[in-house]
Amino acid sequence: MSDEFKHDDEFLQKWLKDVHQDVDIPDGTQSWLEVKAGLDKIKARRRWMKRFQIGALVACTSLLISFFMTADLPTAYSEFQGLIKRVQENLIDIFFEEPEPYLEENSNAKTSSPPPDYIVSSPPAGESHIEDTSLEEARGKVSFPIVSPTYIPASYELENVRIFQDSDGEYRTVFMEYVNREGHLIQLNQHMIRENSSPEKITINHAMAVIKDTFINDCKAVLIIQEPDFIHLEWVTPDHMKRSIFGTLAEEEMILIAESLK
Amino acid sequence: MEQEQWLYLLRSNFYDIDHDAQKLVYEAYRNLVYRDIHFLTRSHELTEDVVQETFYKVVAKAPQLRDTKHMKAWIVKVARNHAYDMFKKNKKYRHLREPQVVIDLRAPFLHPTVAEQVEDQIRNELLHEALNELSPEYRQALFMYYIEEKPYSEISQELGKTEQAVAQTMVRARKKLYRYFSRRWVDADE
Repeated sequence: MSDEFKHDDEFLQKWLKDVHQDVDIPDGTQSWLEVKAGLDKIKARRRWMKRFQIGALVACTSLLISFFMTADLPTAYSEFQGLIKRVQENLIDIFFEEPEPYLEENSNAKTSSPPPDYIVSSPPAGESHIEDTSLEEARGKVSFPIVSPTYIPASYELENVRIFQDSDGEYRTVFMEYVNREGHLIQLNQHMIRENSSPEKITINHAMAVIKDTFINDCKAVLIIQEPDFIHLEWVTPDHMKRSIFGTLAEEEMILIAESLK
Repeated sequence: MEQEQWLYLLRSNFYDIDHDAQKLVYEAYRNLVYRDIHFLTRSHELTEDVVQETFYKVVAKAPQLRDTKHMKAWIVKVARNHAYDMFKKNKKYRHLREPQVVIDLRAPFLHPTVAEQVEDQIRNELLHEALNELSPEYRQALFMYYIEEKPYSEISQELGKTEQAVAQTMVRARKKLYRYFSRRWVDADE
């Protein structure tokens, strides 16, 4: 390398370093506010996922229990006892019909009712088969008229429809998921209550939620608020449909969606 | 905030710390990477995008690092790589509008020392403009060699090129920068 080149190169380096350092970093307040909003969204999503995972674990456990009971293998159930006892602490059961005495905990029973992290609706009895489908196809398969909201908050769109086939071959449950651009989810569940089935019940951990009574189109409903923005609304209609909606949105919006179901 | 402290906060569960502490960490991180990213992107808007997007990555990955020893270098690398990837993926970023350059026309009549300072300022502004015209590939090479002071062997490893190819890129980058700069320098002189 010639001396002249080396000299020029040293100058170039100095100048480039000056240019690098010369940049004034703009005030970061706006930048932080944008990042903060993003972090809050990620935090909410992580919390949602955690809740979903625990909920799924509990739901799987109760489905497994149902399976073992159907198959007359009660001993298998004992493996799940620890989990059920743990999660049953601080729980409130909400029945949508009067609980009949024989449905309460039976001291002779081999099992107690299955159980949740925060909110778990009683799963359909027996084995279920889940299908991803379209709304049109679901309407042709299920045993009841599916309703959908005429009001949904801006930018939410129906993304998934799932139907559950009970052990007798009937489809009595539909899940509809509405997702917005940020990945926030509103889930609408519709479940037809069987005539001779046990009373519909949801179990809530009262230490983790605020419970409010409300009405949806003259039907008694329960609104469960866990975080300021995570809301679960559940009610039973006179035609024996149990409906529930949950998502991260304002209480008023949740009620508007519920009242717009047609 | 002490440099080490904010690095430690990044290694904890960042989502659980309060917003004030989060803000301090973000500001420390932003100050660390901003100038590097701006050198590469030549745009405050794009720099802001890269800084923000990379922060989420850093927050997600930092707790998995074994220690804080090389964390600062790692953060800087994550941010730069994000900027490089952005250029690779999106060609629209390659032609950016030039920043406004304010040249003080009174410069020739000022006291020599002040005039020298003004000349430095003009030179820097013109260099900024010349860098804006360079392709991201050349800017990246100049950045690694002159700002990061990396030898060709290290640059070639990072870019997955031979040392010869890096040397060739450097020659071209220098030539182009010199051409863009001298054109402006002559214009400013006239």
